[in-house]
Amino acid sequence: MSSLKVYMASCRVGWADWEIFWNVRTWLFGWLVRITTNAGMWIMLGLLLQSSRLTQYLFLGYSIAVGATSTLWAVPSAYWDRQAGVHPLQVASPVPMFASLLGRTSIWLLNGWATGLLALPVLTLAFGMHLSTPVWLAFPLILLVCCLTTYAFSLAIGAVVARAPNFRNVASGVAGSALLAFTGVLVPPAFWSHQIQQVAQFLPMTHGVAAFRDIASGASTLSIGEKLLHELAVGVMWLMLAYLALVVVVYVERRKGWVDRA
Amino acid sequence: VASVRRRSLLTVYPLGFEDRMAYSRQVMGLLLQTRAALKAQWAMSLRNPVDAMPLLTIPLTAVISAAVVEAAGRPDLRGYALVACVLMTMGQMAFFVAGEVLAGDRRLKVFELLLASPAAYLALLTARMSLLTAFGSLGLIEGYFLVAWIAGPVEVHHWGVLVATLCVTAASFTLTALVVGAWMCSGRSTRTVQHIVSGPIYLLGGVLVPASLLPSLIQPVSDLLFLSWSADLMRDTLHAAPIEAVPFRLAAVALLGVLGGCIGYVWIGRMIERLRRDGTVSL
Repeated sequence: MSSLKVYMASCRVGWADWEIFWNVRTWLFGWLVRITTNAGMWIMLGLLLQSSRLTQYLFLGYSIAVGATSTLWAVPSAYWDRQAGVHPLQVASPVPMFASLLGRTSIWLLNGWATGLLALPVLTLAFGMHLSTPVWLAFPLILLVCCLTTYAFSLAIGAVVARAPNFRNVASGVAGSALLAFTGVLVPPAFWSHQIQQVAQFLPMTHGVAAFRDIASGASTLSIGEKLLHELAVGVMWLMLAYLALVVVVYVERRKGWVDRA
Repeated sequence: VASVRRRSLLTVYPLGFEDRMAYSRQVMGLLLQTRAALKAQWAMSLRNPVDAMPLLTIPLTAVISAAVVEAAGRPDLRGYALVACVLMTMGQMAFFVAGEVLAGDRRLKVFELLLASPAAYLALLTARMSLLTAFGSLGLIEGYFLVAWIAGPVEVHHWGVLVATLCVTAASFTLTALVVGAWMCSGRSTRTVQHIVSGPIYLLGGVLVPASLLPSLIQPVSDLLFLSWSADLMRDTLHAAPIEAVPFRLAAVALLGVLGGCIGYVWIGRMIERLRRDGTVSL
């Protein structure tokens, strides 16, 4: 019960973090404009290559990635407790630290989902795409699953990178580029070597984006469901890794006496 | 009776009519200050690896764009990935790192000391920002190897024009970053501007995909951005055909950058004047 209380309280801290960066007006007219223009830049590669098939490929992939990669803000956010000097108190408290980590970073999960939900209609209008009804209906769910897995992935990175705070922005940047490149968002997976394709099976978004493409091309419900379950399994794996990473990092910190050295 | 003249933020010594050496002292002073600022920024950057972080992350976008064009079977467009990589790395250094210098000075309370010193603050600021932006040109080397690794070597036919464009672009980026710096200091939250500015500028500037592919309604706006001129010029250096109107196009990049710089100077100058008048420099 106390874990839940801590989680809720940390969620409020996360909300305050969000308010440092954005308010509703700057989020709608700043963040959303930036994120959709960025997406537009990549999707326009299809126009440059004069292929409507490729434009649609980039469009479907990036409309999921817009939201999912926004959850990578959880990587730097995982450090902010240390920056504020609260970390030693959290280590000393009897409540599992994972609760407060989840709480403070949750806002970026919500941020990513909301970003993706609003970006799709904008991008659809901008590129004059025609999406079928099943695509519109399934999009929020698939996006949510992809956001959850990417969020879990960011937590795992964030838990480790919090020990090397100078690299927190590099870590989220590299992770974002790797996800865009290897998970079939922009580049067809067949382009990469067999080994990279194998690794990509364990990265977030790979199965979710594939499922979204299946829906757009009218594949069977069974295969779509299977891919979504795969995606969820990947998410659970990363969540467990994040928990493990946090436990190990805190254990080492206590052993070495590094708890208050951020 | 000594007349007290108001010192501008770009002049070093107050000008007196009786002083025949006034102008040469002025120029020498600016040069010396610029050199000192560059040295100081170099020393600071060496001790602060965070400054170089965009150099580690942004060039990776070249992997994605090179892979997309290569997978689509268009090796002739590899160079586009390279151009986007350089411009985005430089842009990130300008807007994220150089744009932060003014805000950083204020945060670290160096700003008061610099304002109180006889040095011309805007000259110091510009020199320091230009060094940080110039680091961004490393994106050319990084991008070249990344694209060569993913897709294959890029053939550049006019290296001279490419390097010249890069230099002028760096100057224009620095001057434009003054606007970002001023904007960051005038708002409530300094980070917001940095996070917003890159998306629209890269799209309208035709960094990855030429601006001529944008809807015709938006194209006049992108013509007003120096970035669209330099991106087009840099893409032309990849083709064997002779490039048309190089001096004119370089001048366009420079002029639009100077225009941005004027806005930045006036904005920052007014801000400093207001802070001085209200006595809120260190608040």
